[in-house]
Amino acid sequence: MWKFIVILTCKAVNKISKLIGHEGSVIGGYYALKLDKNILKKIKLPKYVIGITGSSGKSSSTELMYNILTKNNYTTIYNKEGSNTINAITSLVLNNSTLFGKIKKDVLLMELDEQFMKYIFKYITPTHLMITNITRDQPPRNSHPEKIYTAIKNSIPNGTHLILNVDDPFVNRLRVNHKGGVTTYGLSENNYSRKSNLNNLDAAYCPICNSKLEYDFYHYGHIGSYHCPKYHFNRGNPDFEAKNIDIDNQLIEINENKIRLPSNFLYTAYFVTGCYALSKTLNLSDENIISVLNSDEIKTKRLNIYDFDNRKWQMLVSKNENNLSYKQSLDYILHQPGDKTVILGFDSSSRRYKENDISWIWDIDFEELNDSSIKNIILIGKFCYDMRVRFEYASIDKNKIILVEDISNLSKILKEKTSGKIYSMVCFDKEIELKKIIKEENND
Amino acid sequence: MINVLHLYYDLLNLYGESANTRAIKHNLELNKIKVNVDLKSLNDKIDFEKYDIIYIGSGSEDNLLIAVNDILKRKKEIKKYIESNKYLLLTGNSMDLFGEYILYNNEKINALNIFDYYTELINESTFKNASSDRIVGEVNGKSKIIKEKIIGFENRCDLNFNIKDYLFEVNEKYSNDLTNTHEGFLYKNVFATHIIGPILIRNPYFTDYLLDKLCKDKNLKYKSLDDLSIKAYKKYLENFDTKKE
Repeated sequence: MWKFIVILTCKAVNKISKLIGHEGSVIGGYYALKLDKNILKKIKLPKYVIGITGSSGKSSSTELMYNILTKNNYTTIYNKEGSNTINAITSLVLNNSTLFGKIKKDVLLMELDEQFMKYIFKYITPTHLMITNITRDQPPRNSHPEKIYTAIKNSIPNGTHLILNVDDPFVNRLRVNHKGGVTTYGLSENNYSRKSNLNNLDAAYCPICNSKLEYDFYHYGHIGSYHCPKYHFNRGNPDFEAKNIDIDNQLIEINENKIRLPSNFLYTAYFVTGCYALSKTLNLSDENIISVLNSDEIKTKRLNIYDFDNRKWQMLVSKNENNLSYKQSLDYILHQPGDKTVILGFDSSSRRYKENDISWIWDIDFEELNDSSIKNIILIGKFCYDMRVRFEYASIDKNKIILVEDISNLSKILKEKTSGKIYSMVCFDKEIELKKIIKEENND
Repeated sequence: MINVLHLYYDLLNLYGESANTRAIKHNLELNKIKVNVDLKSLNDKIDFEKYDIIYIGSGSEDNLLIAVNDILKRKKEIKKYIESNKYLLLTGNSMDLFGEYILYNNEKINALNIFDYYTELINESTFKNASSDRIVGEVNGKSKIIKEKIIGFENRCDLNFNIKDYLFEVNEKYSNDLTNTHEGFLYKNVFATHIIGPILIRNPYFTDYLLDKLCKDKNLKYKSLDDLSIKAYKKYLENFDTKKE
């Protein structure tokens, strides 16, 4: 009876919250947990309870997994907005439960925060857990990747089937002593794989014997193919490996099946391969997975491309405080054909907190912008002088670098002093200003 | 010729810290002084006598303990290096290696015991900032060695007790043991601070002080020539130094 009241309360509060104009995905769960903190333990969950976590790529993976599952007639509920606190997951579960505490669906799918996950697993045991990668990400919030690794490791329950990106030695460490099934995935060497001076910042040593890992190749950062020289720990051959990878033409092959990628970014190859591995673990057939991946319904990711003074201008999101996501965006720009002007900069390191740590710009290979196709680099934002110093150290030709402190001059400078397609990768508030400049130009 | 050693470059390197040896190299090269930077780590053979300046950065708690095991084997040479007035720059938690011991999860781990401070690694939720269980934030400090302010960032979980000769004066919440304004450690030419990351890039006046002193010891002439870093330093203070720390 009490369970009935708790579930009813959650549903009612969320309804009311929605009626008065709130998004309302969290508040019902908050009150339900106030009434009964163990309510989640009393719900009959679906056959499959799937979690997806990692430093990056978890939203894209969860969304794609939802598509694969529903197109294969699995009824699925998932936290669409990525709300992954305990209150949000409680809301999701109770809203989709009958008043008697049963979820009449096949799958509960959850995008999970690496550090909050443990609070959810106290009440819900996942049948499957996919981990995309563990990298430097928002250090003022997450401290360092070892801490994220430990948070994930300590929250994984026995018996959960892990789906691991073994190109990442941090993720691969999770299988050491895990009691439960493990399925691995990874990418074969491709034209995005390159070595740099900043590869071995993390997870450089064997977790068993502390020998330095040896690499056959790097995709980026510490992600690649590695082995312990004393054979304690290695990437090995993943259960599902994307081969014949052609990022520029958006194609990969898994199990000799050609698969189209939703965009020409390397990270899409990772989440497609990860979802493939996870789907196979759920016993979906190759045909059923591929028919979804290659269907027109999986929309090609929309690229933010605008017209500006008879040139194309593509906007990328600046992944501040995540050196490897940032680097992948630089890699993307470099792989595009033709001459380029790049706009970079930020006013603050984070949108989530006030602390401005700028150490991360020294963990990014800006050196790779020493490329003949990069015609100009424009630095904007409050930290443009720190970026300028970084580019001095990267030995970028100073004649290519333009500092723009007053953004109202940017339009004129772009037209008069730069050439090639424009790529901007700036923080959120600066992006609004750039969009305004494009709009003004096109209204003239 | 100046010989630089970046020790534990692949283990204690959490926050862009290779930038510090790059700053040493860059500024000396602007002065037309030849520089050699060696990268060494666990189990590597190291001839400490060769080096003029050694740098160690900050690491995760686990990596710090791996480094302790390695550095203990080198105690005699390191002690000799320090006592012969050679330069040692430590950022983040690497200063923990040189104290008496490290307390971590109720376990006492012996450190080099070259200096008589000791370390406690904390993990309870005491702090209200981006990270709830660490000392995290922007530092704005003073020092006795230069008149210009020191800027930087801390992201740590180590407290150091029993330090008398400190390097910087900072807001209490970023100090060695959170009870006074004393931050870091200074002994002969050992400069240790909890500030993480590219401290020598962001603090050109401090870098100039350090390299000028080093060059004088080596009978080399040094001038401050890195105008871009000075500009970035001034801009940061202009943009963000609104509150008195």
